[in-house]
Amino acid sequence: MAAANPFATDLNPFQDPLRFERRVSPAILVLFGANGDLTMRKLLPALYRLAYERRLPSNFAVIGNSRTAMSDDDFRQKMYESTKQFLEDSPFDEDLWQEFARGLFYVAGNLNDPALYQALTAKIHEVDTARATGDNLLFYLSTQPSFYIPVIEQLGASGLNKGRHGYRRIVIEKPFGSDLQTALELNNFVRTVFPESDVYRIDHYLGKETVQNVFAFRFGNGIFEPLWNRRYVNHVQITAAESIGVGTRGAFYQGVGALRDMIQNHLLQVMATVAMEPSAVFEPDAVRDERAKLLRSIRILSPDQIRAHTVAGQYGPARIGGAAVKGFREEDGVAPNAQADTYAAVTFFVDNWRWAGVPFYVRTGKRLPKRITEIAIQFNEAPHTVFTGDATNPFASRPNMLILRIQPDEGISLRFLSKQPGNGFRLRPVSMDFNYGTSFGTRTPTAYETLLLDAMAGDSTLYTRQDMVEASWKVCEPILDVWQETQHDFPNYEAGTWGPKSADEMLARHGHQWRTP
Amino acid sequence: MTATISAEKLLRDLSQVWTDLAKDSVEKSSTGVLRACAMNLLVCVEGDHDVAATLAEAAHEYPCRLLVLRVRREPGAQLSGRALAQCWMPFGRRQQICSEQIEISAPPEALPDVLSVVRALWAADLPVVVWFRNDSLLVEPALQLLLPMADKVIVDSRRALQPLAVLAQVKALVAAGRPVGDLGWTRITRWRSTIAQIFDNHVCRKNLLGLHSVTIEHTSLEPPLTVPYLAHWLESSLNRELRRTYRSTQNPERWEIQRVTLTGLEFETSIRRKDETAVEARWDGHTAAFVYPRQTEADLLVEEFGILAPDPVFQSVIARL
Repeated sequence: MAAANPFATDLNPFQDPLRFERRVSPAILVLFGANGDLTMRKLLPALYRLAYERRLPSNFAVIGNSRTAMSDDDFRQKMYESTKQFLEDSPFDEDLWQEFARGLFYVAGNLNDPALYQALTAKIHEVDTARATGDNLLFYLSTQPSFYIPVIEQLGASGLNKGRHGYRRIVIEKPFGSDLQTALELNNFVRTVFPESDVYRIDHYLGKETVQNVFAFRFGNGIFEPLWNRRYVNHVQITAAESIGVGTRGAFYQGVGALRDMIQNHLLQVMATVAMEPSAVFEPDAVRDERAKLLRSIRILSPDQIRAHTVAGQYGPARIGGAAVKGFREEDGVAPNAQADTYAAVTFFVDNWRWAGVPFYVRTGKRLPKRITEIAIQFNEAPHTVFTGDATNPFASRPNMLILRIQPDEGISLRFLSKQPGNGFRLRPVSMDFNYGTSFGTRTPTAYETLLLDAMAGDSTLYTRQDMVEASWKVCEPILDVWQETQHDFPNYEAGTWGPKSADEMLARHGHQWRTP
Repeated sequence: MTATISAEKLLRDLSQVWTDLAKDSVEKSSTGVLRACAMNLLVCVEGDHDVAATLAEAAHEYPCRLLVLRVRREPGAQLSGRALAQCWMPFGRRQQICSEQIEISAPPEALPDVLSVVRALWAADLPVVVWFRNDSLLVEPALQLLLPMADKVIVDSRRALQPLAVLAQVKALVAAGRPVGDLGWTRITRWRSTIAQIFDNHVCRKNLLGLHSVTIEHTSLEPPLTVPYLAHWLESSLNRELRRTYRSTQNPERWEIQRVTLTGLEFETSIRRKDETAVEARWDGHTAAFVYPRQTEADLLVEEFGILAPDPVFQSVIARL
């Protein structure tokens, strides 16, 4: 192979991939919804942290937009305050901020107004010239979903979707539609302005280090994949629990619900990552093809099956730790007879050779006892128990379990039986733990740091593709339809408990029970 | 009576350390301790050199089975060994994390006897890193026998009494195909990364065609090895020679490097150490500050622990020196 020409200006001869963090080409991030919560709590802190880690080029720039009139300096001050407040697990360096803030710009305007896009075009030209960003633009839709189509339409009409020699990419936050029909409409519309390869649908769960580690765990080790099928796996439980309620988001939440908010996107993506076939190579489309295939293999439940295999729940009031906790219907902005699900549990089946007959129990809820997200893979018990189980030896037989903890305390545990020290032959379950924080003491990047950098690098492996969005809506929409038609007897679980009794019964029918995380 | 040490006894002691820690912790908080081990680290150190703080800091990022081999040259020094654990409580957690340590003291003449003990003390199946904290130990014949066992050897030319001798050893190790790290090289990673970052910009990159000189200002009387490392890295990256000038500023601040200036036909880039936490770069009318806190020895070690394969960039620089 010929050696790279060090004088070629398209290559930086000073790279050292072994020691330097992966960096990306200079670019302008155009941030719609720059005055919103997501920008202030997640995006700007993530960008600042990337700058701190020297993973952004020094001439990287952000142009923020919202309706609020602000100067560049006002925007910088606002971002300064919020970044300082919301930066997690990281020091704040005033000097670095001054440097970073020089790359922050702002254009006010209404998203439906063509004049905004003229102003943006002028600003982009000015910033690109001043900071030599190579005509690379990454648009980020951090707005209300109802603005997605108008913004994309205006980007097309103003010609901002076409670069002279740089790239044009667009990042879209979930929800990608509120049902299959609206998802199709959105996807079809986006395609008229941006090719699918330049569309980055962000699902921040996929950016979490432990979800990425599922790939490494499954496909980097030889010992697990042979067990990863119906012969050895009894069932899988995926839990995403939150201890908090809906807080100030009650009005919004009652129109969405837990199934739409969590399962349709995050948890089905997690499930697809756990259950997908190995891809031939670790490249964006190869990996996404396999995830999409898995999503398409999930059985679409009939109305009768939905009644047997799904549970909707809503939390009621309770006292937790001596304090009174409101029920969902008492939260601000929530109707007293609201039918929204704050808890959802579904038994999914994957109709393929690998997983035929293996239930995947997926649950999510608010006001559960603690905040935890984990995947628990329960293996079949030993085919024959040689140890006698009785009151003195209650664990004579206990299935092995593999736990992939996504948050908090990211890590992996394997539960197995061991002989209890002492006389007799009493067994006890013990756990072998791998903990990210202790095996790799380095700070774990946040999901947004990972995903923003990936989008700038043009790596869509951890982003959701159009066909995946549609496949997951096809799975969830029939459930939503049945739930919509049902008059639920809510509230059906007390705040601070692990959800409705019917969710336990759903598993009991298969001879299983929820693991207490 | 001649003192002896036994690997079995040290491992038994280590086991007892864990039992005591677990018991103590369970009595106090019922959460137990987490025994963490990601690699083996053998530290060869002269006499009473204090490495405890450095190793404790590095162990936070790479919990390991730590073997400290102290070579004692004072008369009457005896062979001895002990097992202990370094524990810390991560912020916001209730469970202590502990990294295990075995310390062996030996007079030079006992070193050949220690090697088999050291071999028996490795945690199985985990990488072995050997750090020669003092360059005098790098030439100890007995300790040289450790090199083939190591997945990586770490030295520090900057702290060495005889840096050129260390460089010669590094060259020999590289030639033998052994992964080797020199903390003198690690010290300039951020300088290199800052230079790389400036030339991420394609407009700046065009100026590389005319780049002809590099001037490096340092604060020592004589340039430490880090200075030629940086200059030769520039040459190696560009695959051509530059006019190299090293200048001592004899600044009371003991930075490794004070300023780097790259000069071309119509171009000058300079990066200077601004203060304890940052460097400032100037190019093409632009000024930018880059975070660059003063690095501890533990920071440098941690960077090297992350690279257990041969480092081709370092190797190409070594080949030019």
